[in-house]
Amino acid sequence: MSRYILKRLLSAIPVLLLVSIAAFVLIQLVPGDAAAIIAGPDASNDEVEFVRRQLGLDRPWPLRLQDWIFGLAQGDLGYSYILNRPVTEAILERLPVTLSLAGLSIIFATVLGVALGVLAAVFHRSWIDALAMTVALFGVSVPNFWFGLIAILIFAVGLGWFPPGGYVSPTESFTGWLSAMALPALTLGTASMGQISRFSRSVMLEQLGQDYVRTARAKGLGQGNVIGRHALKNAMIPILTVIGISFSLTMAGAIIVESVFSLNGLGRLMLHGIQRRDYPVLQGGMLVIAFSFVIINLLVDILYSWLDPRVRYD
Amino acid sequence: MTDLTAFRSFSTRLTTRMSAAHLPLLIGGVIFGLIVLAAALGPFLTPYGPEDTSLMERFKGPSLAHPFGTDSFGRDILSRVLHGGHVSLGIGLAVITISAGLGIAIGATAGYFPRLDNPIMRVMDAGEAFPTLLMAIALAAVLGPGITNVILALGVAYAPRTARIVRASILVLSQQQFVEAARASGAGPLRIIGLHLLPNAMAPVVVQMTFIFADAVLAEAALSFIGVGPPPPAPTWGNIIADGRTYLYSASWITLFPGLAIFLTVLSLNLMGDGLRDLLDPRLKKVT
Amino acid sequence: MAEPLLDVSDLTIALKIGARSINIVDGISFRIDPGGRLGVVGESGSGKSMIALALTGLLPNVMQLVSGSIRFQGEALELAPPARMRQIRGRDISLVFQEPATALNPVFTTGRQVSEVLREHEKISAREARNRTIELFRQVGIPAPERRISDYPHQMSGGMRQRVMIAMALACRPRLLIADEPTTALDATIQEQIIDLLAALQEETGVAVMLISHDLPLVAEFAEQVMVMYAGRVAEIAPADTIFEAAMHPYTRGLIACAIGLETGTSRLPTIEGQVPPPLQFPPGCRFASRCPHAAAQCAQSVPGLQPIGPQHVAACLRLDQMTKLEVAS
Ligand SMILES: Nc1ncnc2c1ncn2[C@@H]1O[C@H](COP(=O)(O)OP(=O)(O)OP(=O)(O)O)[C@@H](O)[C@H]1O
Ligand SMILES: [Mg+2]
Repeated sequence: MSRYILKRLLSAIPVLLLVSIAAFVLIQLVPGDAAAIIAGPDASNDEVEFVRRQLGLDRPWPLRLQDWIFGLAQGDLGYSYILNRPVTEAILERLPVTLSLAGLSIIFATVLGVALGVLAAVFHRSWIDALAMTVALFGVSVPNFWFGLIAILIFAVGLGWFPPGGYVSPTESFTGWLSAMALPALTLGTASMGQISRFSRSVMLEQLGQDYVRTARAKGLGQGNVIGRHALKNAMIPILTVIGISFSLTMAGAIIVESVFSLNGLGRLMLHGIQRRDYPVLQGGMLVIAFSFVIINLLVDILYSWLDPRVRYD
Repeated sequence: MTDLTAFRSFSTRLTTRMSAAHLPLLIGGVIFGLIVLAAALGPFLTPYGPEDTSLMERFKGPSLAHPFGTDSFGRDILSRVLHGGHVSLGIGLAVITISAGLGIAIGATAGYFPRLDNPIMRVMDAGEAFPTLLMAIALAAVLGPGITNVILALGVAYAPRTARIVRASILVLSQQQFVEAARASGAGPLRIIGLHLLPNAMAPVVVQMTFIFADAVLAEAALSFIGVGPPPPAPTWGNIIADGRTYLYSASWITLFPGLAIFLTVLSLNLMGDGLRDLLDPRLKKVT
Repeated sequence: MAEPLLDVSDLTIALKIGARSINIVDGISFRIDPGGRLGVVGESGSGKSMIALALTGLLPNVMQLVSGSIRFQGEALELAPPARMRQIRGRDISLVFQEPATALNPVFTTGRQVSEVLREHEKISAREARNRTIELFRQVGIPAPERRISDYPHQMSGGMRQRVMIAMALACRPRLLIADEPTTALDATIQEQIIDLLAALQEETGVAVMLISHDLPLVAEFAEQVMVMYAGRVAEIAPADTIFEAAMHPYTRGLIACAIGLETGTSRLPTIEGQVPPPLQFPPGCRFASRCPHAAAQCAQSVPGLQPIGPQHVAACLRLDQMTKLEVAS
């Protein structure tokens, strides 16, 4: 088992390296004088030259790439001359907001998505199936930023159940945090919920037709046991992959949803980065999201081996 | 119970699957057709231009004269939504063309030449580690806003998905006898791929293109909304919603109608994708 | 005659396709005595598995029990509510399926899957269930049971998996064990081992066994009574020890000829011409008529009923009298 995990960890390294190179290349694509852009619009000639030397933009690209990779290895994502602080620091400050948003919406999407998918499969071709799949189809079809605005209109402005935006730290007030994150998490999780329930349904349908399900019934086990334990544990193996993919969808969606709900997270930081052409921040944010995707997939694979003995022992 | 499957394949499947696939395809097709028609005929359907302002007619709620109401400049929302459809559908179409072209080229190369498979697919892995939307945002941010850049960004961002599907089909197909036969008769790789492999690998690609279209409409709207899409005053659906956002509490119709337009378009495309998948390739998993 | 353990009469199971309904199993009657051994033979598609599933209330959704009665220890199972059937399944009647490779859940240990039946039906502690599982593994001949209970299905061979299935089926000491082609998926040598094991366990525990198979000699060897099925109907029920000599139905005789041909390895394998018609093409009269060498005009029209031939021996053929003559002649 540990051999398997080790192998997966090692195979993630080249992907991480490629991702880092991709983020590096991105900045090279910026048209015009990168140093002038990064230094900011108000920078003097001397300042631009200083930035050029600091960033090593006067040196050949292989050396710069090398510096970038070595910096990354030490957790250094570069320096933002517009924010006047290290990118890593700026991102770390915003990360809790984005992580709690993404985490809550994935929990919401997984719980509701799997439940709907399983119900739809168990009551295949009944009104329950139709209803669950309509909800799922709504989830994958509705634009999340619009859904968020409508949710604010109804639940925050109209009914006054939740605040219309802003972040509350859970260490300050846990209930405040939950109520502040409820609408954003719902908004962000809706698409993943739809995707997860559509997929869960087809996987579950497949599992319910398997011989071992008939065996479980022949043993006299109840419906709950047959579906909730025997079939679901098998179904969760492929469903996990989709949850992993959904997580990356969620991290990217956070950029938009944070803007709808005025949450000062990584997404908004990046958005400001785009508006102010603060490329080091944009680059750092992209890298963090891509890394989180690779790490989540790694976790998914490790969970796999815990769920599926065939993977564990191979 | 070996004969069971054979028997089922022609009784149950033929009857129930046909109708099960046709219903979503039909509903989706009709809705999508109406949307395309409305977008195409947009200029003739309303008396106002999408950018015609009128100080007298600001913030008017839905009425007979302005079924979808007007915005802060007195522009007719219906006209803007219809024009937005023009832009959104056009972008969607361009995106699926580019992503299919790139995806097929990359996927076929990886699938047919075993030596290139691993390096190409690792690059695809890295590409997919950036969520599509993020990649599009980054490219649009670097290249600058504008319709062409949005199309390029999304087209490139969706290519790995198509590539993966094409590669998988090609891998299976190239093991088959008719390909061996073609190879033995001296056909070159280009001929084999183009003439023998791709035509047989198209069904899942078509299904995927429908879903990518749906995703591209959503992504373009999101890009416009956060300000990295086609710049205002271009009446894209995302731009109209971004405009309306400031007046969300007082003039919610500005936000409501373009959102519904996006929702219906994406919904109809997803329905068509579901139907096509069940019809063309029942075994494809429901990952979109 | 003692009260039978299981008394099935006029059992009819229909397949629903839209508004149509086809009798996949058509008016079947048989009985099994306590501790008895009934063999069921028939080609693929003759409805054997559907009978097994109907007896345990596990028919797939597309199938419907149309008529007939199933008396098990005097209880009418066709009327039993699902909750009652659940109590009976695995405790009083258990099933062993054809494919041990897929019949076990791949993500649970084999030991857990056996102890699960015990814990479902006999509220016992986890520890006790574990001890009894080890004992059961030993009983079905799995070496080193203390270790093997933590094996997953994929770590076992086909024969071992089928032993696990048998252990699972016998865990709660049922009165009836239905084995649906338990050896079809296994190698010839393993097949014999499994049948021997079933026979030994049957003697030991006194459980009644209904053994379903394609293989007439195998069934005749094991069972006391053999029921031969053709396209959802009973062709003949005969005592196992005399079936090879006393068979009266042309289909049974055909099966015997095939079996003997296989045994002696004659160059020209005798087979029954043609195939079992698919359910949609079942003819109105005798369903075997189209393949029967002795068929007459009446066979295409009327459905043959079961005729008594001797003690414990019945056959369903309109031309039974001619059959006897034919036999004398040959
Ligand atoms: N789920 C189902 N849907 C439709 N038809 C079915 C289904 N299950 C079984 N059948 C049909 O019912 C008939 C009887 O099937 P059954 O499985 O009982 O045959 P069998 O005698 O057990 O055959 P085998 O030796 O292959 O196991 C067959 O014609 C089969 O095609
Ligand atoms: Mg069977």
